[in-house]
Amino acid sequence: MPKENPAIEQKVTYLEEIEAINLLKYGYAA
Amino acid sequence: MAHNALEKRIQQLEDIESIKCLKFDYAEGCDVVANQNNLGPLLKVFTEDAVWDGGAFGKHVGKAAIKEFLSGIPAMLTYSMHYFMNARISVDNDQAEGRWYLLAFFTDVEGNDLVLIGIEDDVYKRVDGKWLIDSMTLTTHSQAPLSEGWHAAVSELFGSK
Repeated sequence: MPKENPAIEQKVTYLEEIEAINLLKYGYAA
Repeated sequence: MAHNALEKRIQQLEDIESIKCLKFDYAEGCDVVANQNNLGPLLKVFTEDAVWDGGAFGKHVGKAAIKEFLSGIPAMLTYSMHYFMNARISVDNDQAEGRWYLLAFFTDVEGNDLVLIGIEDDVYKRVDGKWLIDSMTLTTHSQAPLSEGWHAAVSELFGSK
């Protein structure tokens, strides 16, 4: 993996945001 | 962003996904015990020192004790189907915690259909690169015949409003 790769970083951020939204919805359910 | 920091973020996402798969294996393993009288898949998800605390179903410490408990399940149930939802997983290096909503359906040996509603709190450990369940604590809200429903048990827990 290159030291700086904006495309990969964007994908990781996207996955992290999905996980964060899942947690938000589970918090809403709880 | 530094190479190392990005790798850590990816590792965190991979760990969460692995633990979700582990819990799916646990669910399937529970059902294989009741439906096929096979303890093998379920025992594979636990650490050697794992604690299975099922509340009214007993607390079983160590894989051998868990195996002994599970071996009695097929004599009680002819069918089970576990659904784990609303996962909240936090990872700290080689240890992690998770909370799951549980909805499970059973048929007992007398032909009664049962519904279980509860919460499971887990601790996971990474052993030789593989995530395993180190402890599971079940908090049951209700376990009752489908015909009776869950209102009696949950009224006792949370009060009637």
